[in-house]
Amino acid sequence: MQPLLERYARVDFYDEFADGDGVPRSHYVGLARTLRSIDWSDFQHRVATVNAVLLQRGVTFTVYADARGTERILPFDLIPRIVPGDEWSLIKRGIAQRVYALNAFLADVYGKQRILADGIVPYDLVFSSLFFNREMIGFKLPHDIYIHVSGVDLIRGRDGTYYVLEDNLRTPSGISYVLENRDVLKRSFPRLFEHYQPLPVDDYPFRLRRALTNAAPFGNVEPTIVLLTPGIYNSAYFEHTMLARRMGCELVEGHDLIVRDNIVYMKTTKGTQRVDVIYRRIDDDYLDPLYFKADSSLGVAGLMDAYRAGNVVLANAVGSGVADDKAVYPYVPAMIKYYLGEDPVLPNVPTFDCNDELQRRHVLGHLDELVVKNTNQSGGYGMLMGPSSTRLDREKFKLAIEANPREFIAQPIIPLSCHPTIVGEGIAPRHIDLRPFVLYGAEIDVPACALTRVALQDGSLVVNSSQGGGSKDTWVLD
Amino acid sequence: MLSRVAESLYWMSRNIERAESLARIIDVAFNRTVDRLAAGSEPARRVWSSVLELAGGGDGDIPSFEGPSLANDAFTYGTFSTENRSSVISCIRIARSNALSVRAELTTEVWETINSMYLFVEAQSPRAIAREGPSSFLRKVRDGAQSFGGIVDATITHDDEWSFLQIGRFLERASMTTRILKTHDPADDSAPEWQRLLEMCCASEPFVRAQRLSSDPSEALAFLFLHRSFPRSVRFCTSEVEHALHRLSGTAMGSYSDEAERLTGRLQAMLDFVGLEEILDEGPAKFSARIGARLDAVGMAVQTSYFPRIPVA
Amino acid sequence: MEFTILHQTTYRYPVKIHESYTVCHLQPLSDATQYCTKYELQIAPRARVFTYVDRFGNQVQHFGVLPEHDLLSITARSSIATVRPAEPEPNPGVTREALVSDPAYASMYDFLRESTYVAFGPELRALAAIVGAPGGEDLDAWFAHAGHEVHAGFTYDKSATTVRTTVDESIRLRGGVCQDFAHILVALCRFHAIPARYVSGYIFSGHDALRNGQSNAILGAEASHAWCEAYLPPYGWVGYDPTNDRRITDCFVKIAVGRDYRDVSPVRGIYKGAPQSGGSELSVNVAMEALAGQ
Repeated sequence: MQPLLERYARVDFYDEFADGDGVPRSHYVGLARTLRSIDWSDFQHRVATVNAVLLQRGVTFTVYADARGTERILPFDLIPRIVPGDEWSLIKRGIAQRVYALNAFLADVYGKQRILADGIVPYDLVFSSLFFNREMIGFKLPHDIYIHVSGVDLIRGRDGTYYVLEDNLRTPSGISYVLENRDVLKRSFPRLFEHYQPLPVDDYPFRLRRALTNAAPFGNVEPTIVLLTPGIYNSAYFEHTMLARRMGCELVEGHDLIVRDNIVYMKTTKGTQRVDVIYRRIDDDYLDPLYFKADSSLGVAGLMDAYRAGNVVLANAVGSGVADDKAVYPYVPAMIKYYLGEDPVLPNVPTFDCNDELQRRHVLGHLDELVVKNTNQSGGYGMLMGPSSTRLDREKFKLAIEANPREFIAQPIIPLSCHPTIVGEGIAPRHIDLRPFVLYGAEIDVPACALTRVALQDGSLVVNSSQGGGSKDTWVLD
Repeated sequence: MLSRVAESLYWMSRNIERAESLARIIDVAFNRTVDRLAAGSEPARRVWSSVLELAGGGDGDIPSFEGPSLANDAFTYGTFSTENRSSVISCIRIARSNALSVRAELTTEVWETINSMYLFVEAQSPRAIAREGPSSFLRKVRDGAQSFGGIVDATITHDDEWSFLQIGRFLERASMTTRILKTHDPADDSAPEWQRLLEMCCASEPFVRAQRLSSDPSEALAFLFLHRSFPRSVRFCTSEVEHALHRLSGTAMGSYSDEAERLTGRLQAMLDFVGLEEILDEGPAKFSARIGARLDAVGMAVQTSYFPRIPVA
Repeated sequence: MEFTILHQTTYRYPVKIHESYTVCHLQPLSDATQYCTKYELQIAPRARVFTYVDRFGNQVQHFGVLPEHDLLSITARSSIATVRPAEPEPNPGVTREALVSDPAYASMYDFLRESTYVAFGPELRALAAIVGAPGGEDLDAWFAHAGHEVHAGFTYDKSATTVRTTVDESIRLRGGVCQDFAHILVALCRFHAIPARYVSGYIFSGHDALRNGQSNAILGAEASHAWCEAYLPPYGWVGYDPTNDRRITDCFVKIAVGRDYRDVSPVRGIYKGAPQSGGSELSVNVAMEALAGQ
């Protein structure tokens, strides 16, 4: 039988693995050698084993296709993605710079609103954002930190340039896959590691805990931290249990907490115990029925009052979503310039703002070439992929855009880079992205933990787990 | 520990215990009626009525099935009815959902036992069971529940978590034994009737061994209520609950720090010192009802002490 | 003028509730036109009261009652001195150009758009056409004109509306209470791109009687009130009361300002133990007294 990797056909995209002549890039040489020496049937056997292990461990997410949600695993691809040290240090600098600027933006729009008064970002854009939380105006947060945990989605263009596609500032998930993928790969296929020593990922819970500890109100060096989950039906419930367990903190639901005299407590069998930091994996709207959705049973009544009084820290801050509103995204390079006086390390993807009449006209005229995204949705929902869309899809989007232009942006299709991936017959190139995570406690910390998502369908550019994506272990080299 | 976690552990354990008891009760009913009693006969009707009563939530809200399909209806009501929150399938669903919500606290072994019981029950077809007979299904439920108990004891650290599991398990067991005895028909002191009660309490063999060849039915009553070391006697179960409560609070046995301990201690003292004659004088059914009410009060008090609905300000 | 105000709100619940959390806008604000000299809030059952200043500058109190209770009573007592003219004059010369070039105008987003109770529905659009658009020259005159039109076109009718009635509903009903009148005028201003906000407060209805020397105190008068303010530079926020068709005098006491009723509702809250609309019984008693010697 032909060696496995020889079937890998190169494509007209940036190929992570090999250069234009089909020669493996230097950081993939060792892996290529190992892959060539492995028997295909052995490979197939391991793929099956690994996915069975993940299912048994319950490393699942929930797809909201029916009322109760279906538990599924994120398919795991055995061939690791490798990020060499020099690229990683560029990424680190780029996303740290971004998070600094976005955090400054949040402190500003909920504070003095200088960037709006100076006309860099339009008032209307911010005030019309669904995620601009007016209750936060005038809040003074400990250390002025809003974005304690973020996940920045990066993609690579045809020439290998890293672009920022999205800043996920609300409750980005995926870290559990990073931890599980590495663990499973080490156990099931230790040989793959023979030429490599990727930076460890298993210190993430420790670093998250450190960031949350540093985020506590001033002077509190041993804060009680809890992870607030919406509960067992949430798509990322597995991740919540895993992080709580590994951080050594309580996993709480809304009704485990109670606010008494502006202080948050958790209800234990030995009475109530004060809570200082809440790593919340619940959306803003559900946090406090007194101020937001009154019928929400997921949240804690009075939480916003305790928060305003500075008696508890919420990570991330309420209202952080305005900074990752897709229509605010085009302004991030300007924010970096405005707050830091620097040029962006990582470029944005060019973006058309449908709220602007000229740009909207362009978008409506080129719907078949662009990707259109709804600013109020995420996870690959509410999206139009122009080239693969039907006339009917485009017609629907045209009407929707004309009715609510503020809710749409459009971008040229960026041909995501490709990576060798196991498919039915062997190994083939599939499109991938990269989501590194950023922690911001006292200072910015970028652990070597990044999630590589892969579009398993041939030719697909959509990597979202809800849309048929899988994941890879990501090796960051020193 | 979070009150919610304690509460989930308590109900998880209670529901598994309940599923086990119910599976046995239904199995006993089948065994006793399938060959010995003509379908539709009065003794058969009584057996199945007792199943209906035990399969309900204990709040008296039981549908009245009558006529030729009584056996079938009672079986379905006790096993696969989703309207009955106390049926085998409901209990296992509730236990699994409780387990899921405290998964971070459970050992993998405990979680997997419950999860596989859940998957097993969900995969059953009531129609196939009606065709093949329910015994192997009921046995699997019993086996699963019993291995849950064993795995809990063997893999969970015997501290607070375990204590809440113990309280749930033994309160449920005591209460089920009491309810089984309540179904005793005072007019029927026959050996088969006592045999039914013993079997439903899983006490037939231990009783025979303990009593040798005693044929006095009242001995069975004493055995089920008062035996010091039979693990399903009410007295044994109460004692386990009492010990678990004192482990939790750290209060010495013989004194109490909350209502749950006080009520359990009082009940325990009563069971320690009550004489069989007193029970017979009061009448077994009446006595059972009184003990049942006290057990319910203990359950309420545990809730108030450890997972109050209204927080203590 | 100087006033003392007693504002008492009582909820009675048919079953015991617990963990009730309440937010109040009951403290009269202090600005250039009025000064709150004393304010106290009493809660039964006893609760610790916390205060913060919201983004509109209002003083907000909140508290929680955790144990079971079936009665919640909130008593606010305040003393206020108002220094507005008794006969306010028009504010001439407010042009559209002055408005849009005002530095604060760009940040008026929330007072120019629709909000929960203030929507530009078909009824509002029709009404706006009848009232007519403001010219570019005298926005204050248009504001008073619009206020007058609202007053003339609608009947004060307590039975017509509820606290949740929207602008279009009350226009269709041709009637409502001060809250509805205020919402309609706010909507008209915003529809014509004049920043407008909702004001909750009190009006001293003993005014005329007092001036006639008949009495110096009117107790139990129904004095909870609401009106509208428009942003008219260089005068700033200028008020008009469409319910009584008049400008804001020294007989008005402002409590709070916001986009609409929702931002400034005097008392709102949630609780556990019974459905949120579980037939609780609400009674409100407001007594406003003018101090003697005026």
